[in-house]
Amino acid sequence: MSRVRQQELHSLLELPRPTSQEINDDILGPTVTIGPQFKTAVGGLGIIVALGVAGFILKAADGFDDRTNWGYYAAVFAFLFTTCQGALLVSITMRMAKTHWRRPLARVSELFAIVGFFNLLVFLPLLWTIPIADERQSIWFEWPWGAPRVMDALAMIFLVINGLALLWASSIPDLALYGKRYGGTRGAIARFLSTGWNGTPIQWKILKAGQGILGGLYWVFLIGVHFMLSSDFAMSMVPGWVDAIFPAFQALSGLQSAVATTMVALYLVRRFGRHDQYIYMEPFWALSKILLGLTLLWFYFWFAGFITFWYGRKPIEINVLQLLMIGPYRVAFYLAIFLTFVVPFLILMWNWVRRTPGGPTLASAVILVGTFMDKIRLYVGAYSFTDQELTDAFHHESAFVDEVLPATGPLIPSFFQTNWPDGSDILVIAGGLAMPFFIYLLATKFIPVISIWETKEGYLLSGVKTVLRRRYLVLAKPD
Amino acid sequence: MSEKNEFKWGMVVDTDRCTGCQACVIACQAENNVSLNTEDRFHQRRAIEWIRIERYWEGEYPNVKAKFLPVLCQHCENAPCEPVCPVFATYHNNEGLNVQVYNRCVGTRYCANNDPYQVRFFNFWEPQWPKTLENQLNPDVTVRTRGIMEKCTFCVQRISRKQRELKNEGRDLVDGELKPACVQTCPTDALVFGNLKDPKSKVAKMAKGSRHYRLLESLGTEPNVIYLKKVEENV
Amino acid sequence: MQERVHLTDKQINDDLLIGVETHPRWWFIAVGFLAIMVATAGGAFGYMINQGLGVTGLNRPVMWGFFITNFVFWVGISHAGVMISSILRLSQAEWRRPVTRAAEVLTIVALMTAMLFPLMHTGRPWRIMYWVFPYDFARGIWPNIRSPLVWDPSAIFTYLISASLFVFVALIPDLAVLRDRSTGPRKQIYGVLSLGWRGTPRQWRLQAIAGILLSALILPVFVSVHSIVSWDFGMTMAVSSWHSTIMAPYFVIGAVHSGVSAVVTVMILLRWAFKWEKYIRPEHLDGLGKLLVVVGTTWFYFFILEFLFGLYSQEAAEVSLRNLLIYQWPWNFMFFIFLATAFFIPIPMWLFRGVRRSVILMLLTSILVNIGMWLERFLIIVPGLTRKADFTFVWGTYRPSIIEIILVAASFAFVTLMILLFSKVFPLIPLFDQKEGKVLEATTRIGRRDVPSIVREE
Repeated sequence: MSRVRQQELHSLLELPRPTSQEINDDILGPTVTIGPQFKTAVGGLGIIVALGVAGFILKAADGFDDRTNWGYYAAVFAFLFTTCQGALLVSITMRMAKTHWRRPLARVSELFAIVGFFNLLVFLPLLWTIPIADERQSIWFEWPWGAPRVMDALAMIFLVINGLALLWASSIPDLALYGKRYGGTRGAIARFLSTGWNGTPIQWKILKAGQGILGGLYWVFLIGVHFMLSSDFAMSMVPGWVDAIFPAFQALSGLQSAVATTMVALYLVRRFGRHDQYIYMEPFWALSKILLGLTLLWFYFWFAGFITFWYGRKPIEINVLQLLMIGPYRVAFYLAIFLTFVVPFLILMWNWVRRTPGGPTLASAVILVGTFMDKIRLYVGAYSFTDQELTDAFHHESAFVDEVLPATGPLIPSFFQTNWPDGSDILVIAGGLAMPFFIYLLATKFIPVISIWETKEGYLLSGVKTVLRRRYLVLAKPD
Repeated sequence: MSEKNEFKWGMVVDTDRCTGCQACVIACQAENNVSLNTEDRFHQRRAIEWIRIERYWEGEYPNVKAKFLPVLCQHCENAPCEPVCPVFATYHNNEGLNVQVYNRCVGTRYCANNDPYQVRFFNFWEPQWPKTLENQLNPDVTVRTRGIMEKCTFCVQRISRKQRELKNEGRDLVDGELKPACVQTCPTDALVFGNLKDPKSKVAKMAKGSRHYRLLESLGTEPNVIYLKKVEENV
Repeated sequence: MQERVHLTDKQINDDLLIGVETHPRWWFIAVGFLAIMVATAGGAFGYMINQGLGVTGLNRPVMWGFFITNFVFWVGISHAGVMISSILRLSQAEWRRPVTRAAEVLTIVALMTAMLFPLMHTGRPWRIMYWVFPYDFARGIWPNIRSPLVWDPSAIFTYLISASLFVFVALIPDLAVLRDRSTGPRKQIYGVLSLGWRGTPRQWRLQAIAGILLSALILPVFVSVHSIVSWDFGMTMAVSSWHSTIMAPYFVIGAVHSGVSAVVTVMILLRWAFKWEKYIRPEHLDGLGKLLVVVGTTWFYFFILEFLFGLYSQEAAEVSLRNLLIYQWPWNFMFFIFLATAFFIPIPMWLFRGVRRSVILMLLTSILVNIGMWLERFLIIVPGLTRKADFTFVWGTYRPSIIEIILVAASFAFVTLMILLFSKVFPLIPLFDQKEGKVLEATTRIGRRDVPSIVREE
């Protein structure tokens, strides 16, 4: 007695199966044509990005000594890091798990490696805003030669190089195809980058092994950088904030927003890149299930940290909760809770919503806004202390003991004041948020936004089987 | 003091006066029917001392001083041991006392874990006294069976007896007339007990002195036992 | 590469019901031996009740010792079932099929064992009614819901009930097979239990929906159980090393690590005991091995966070605890064994395909993990208490007594005994799941190779 259940609509089943030539034409075609819509978008975004750079220059003119001035800048960086540099993980992980539905979104998520490079440029000035590790609590325990700055910069640079290498490794077969079809400078560059790719079995083996290793390394680096950023740029900047789950919480938040970023990008590529044929319903559905799980986990990680502080009731813990959750940044915090957890949960819990492209995308967009709010409450909050306060707290002295510790009485110490964004902050926020769109749009004209070889491989490994007048998808699982 | 019910019991421990004579420890054993701490109890690390004297050394050789710190239940306002008890065997009463209800206790020992001062004691064995000592047990105090927690009560039996007395006689508490056994015994007056809500009482005045501190203050437990110590600059 | 073994339905029934339908001598010897061990532990417990907790090695400040360690360990093992049955079911991992039932049964048995220990360790176990059940209606005093120890029984009972339902729903089709194959009173009992199962399409659909719903609904319970167990420690602000925000996910992922390893051990023992080589194949161990690499590495990441951020706070108690673990005998020895067995030996080995597919190596490494994970719980609970808070004069040590060792050892015997008893009554590999997997098998011809494929249900 078979127990095969009633078949749901399956988009990949219903779509016609294109030939190899059609795939090449459909995907490579848009990379060489530039429409008016594209020009308008790139132009508009370019202006906003330029304004953001102006905002940065305004800030830099004020110098790096006043840390509160850089709080929103740090939040924007952290947001871009969490979303865009995390996005690569989606394709890395799903390729490791050998899922078939990842094929349409593999390149879409990997293209964010280029955004990651520009985010490195956003990051470097931030190094001057944090104090060195000697005179405050730090994970570096008075490490020599300039930790945390040198170590953080190195980790970030390695991460970006790793990301670019991964993008390159996964697009070699496509670049070879590109080089064969088109001449000119771009064709020559593509031919150079494809390093004599012929598609021999040995080359495939090396390529796949390379992708696996680079992917594994990217995971390690990304978790590592999350760890360093969250402790060097947030936790250790707040006196007495000892929260072992925080790096893991940030990494988890990174995974959640990575999936959300990929989903939004996938939707936009499908909608405006006109790739309906290749971006079918399955990736949305599968990705939104994962997003639902990560959304629940976000709440779980947050709650695990919160309940420990809440129950512990040490004065120092009450203070940290005040700064980050119920004090000056409570608006950002409540928005973060609502937008990263409550709203997306209510959207994603419905199966029929998860099978549309719009529902998961809406939830993802909401999550991205929520993540940004979360970064604001964490980073702007953390950037509101001066070096002196950090040193005092480290040595348990003066202002710290007098003002922070007896906080069980008057609950909000005087120096926990809200920093609202000023003019340059708004410019930086606008420019920073426009940057990934701008870079990504440009990148799609150099590298095909759908992975051609993975799409072809997908058609090779899947088939349709008819049992009792009903069509089923048969997925091959080679080793 | 206008209202008779307005009590908040507290103690001041003047460590500068303490000689470490341990009289308070013995007085407490006798008053509260604490079982005998034989040598093997100490070896098992299961001795029960509701108040104990911790000795530590201060200063560098040759200016070394032995210092004594009497440690008893701190009767915290914000006691960490209270919320963790699953059966409400320990709770805070309205007179500032952290009280233990022996009958409800099932012996999960969670309160002992969440007690930063280590002043809660578990009865690992059935308490026993030599035949000769059985008649000296205090009839006002329950003998605790094995398997439950016990700790300093600020001699709650004396407090309630005194309160009954005051009620019968219809008068207010005179500062200093109510003393737990340890305070009563202390030869140097290092321990002072009284009502912290009465601003004229000796404890309330001493607690406001410049030498005051409380044990493990950074935990925010807000103890009702206040310690006094002169901070010496050049030790 | 998946191996394909072709079996008829009849053969599957015969092979998988071997435990129920045959009565080999080794089974009786094993059950007898284990029952003696459990009875010995019963005696030890009786002695403890009679004499008081003085017969344990507990002292001030180490108020919790072997019993609580063992409680946490078994709650951890109980996470195997849901991890395998529910998460792998929802993610449609084909290799889960032969593993599910044994994992779920292990869950239930481990939970029952775990529950005994906190009750056993109380000073007056005859009074636990106050605590576990809100029974004190007359006096109007209910259990204190602020206490994590009240969250514990609630979470564990919920988990036990839902896990039992989970097993039962998956058992129904198999019970029907047993009903059809047995005679006499056994037939009647199985008949009642199988709830009139005839295998109609509607019944299959309901059974599948119930399974998927339970899988999804049990997940929050699954996460909450060990989180709450971890909060027994995490909420304890007086013990600095326990009071860490990482505790909940650290415990949960550690539980999955030890639980899935325990499933590997159990599966290999069953394969050997019931000659199920055709069902529990290297490919299943391979899948479990890959899962364990991910779980184990994540667990290690949390371990590093826990360890590092203890030092970060630079509190005296935390620093001295790490000092104890790294430099002082015998703690450093245990710490070394724990790290080696829970992470540094098994995880690098599992990176190799050959190891993952070797039955004997998987058996050894999975046992190693559980040695390590037992020590992990011990090294969280006891050294934390011995280096409690900032008062150095209350630092102490702990040494378990023979009574505690007997009771802990007997818990392993009890779990084995319960699984063996279960195997006498119900099949430990789901028959219907095995057959379903067979229906979904397909092959795709690519070039000159036949690649194993599966038919997707959705």
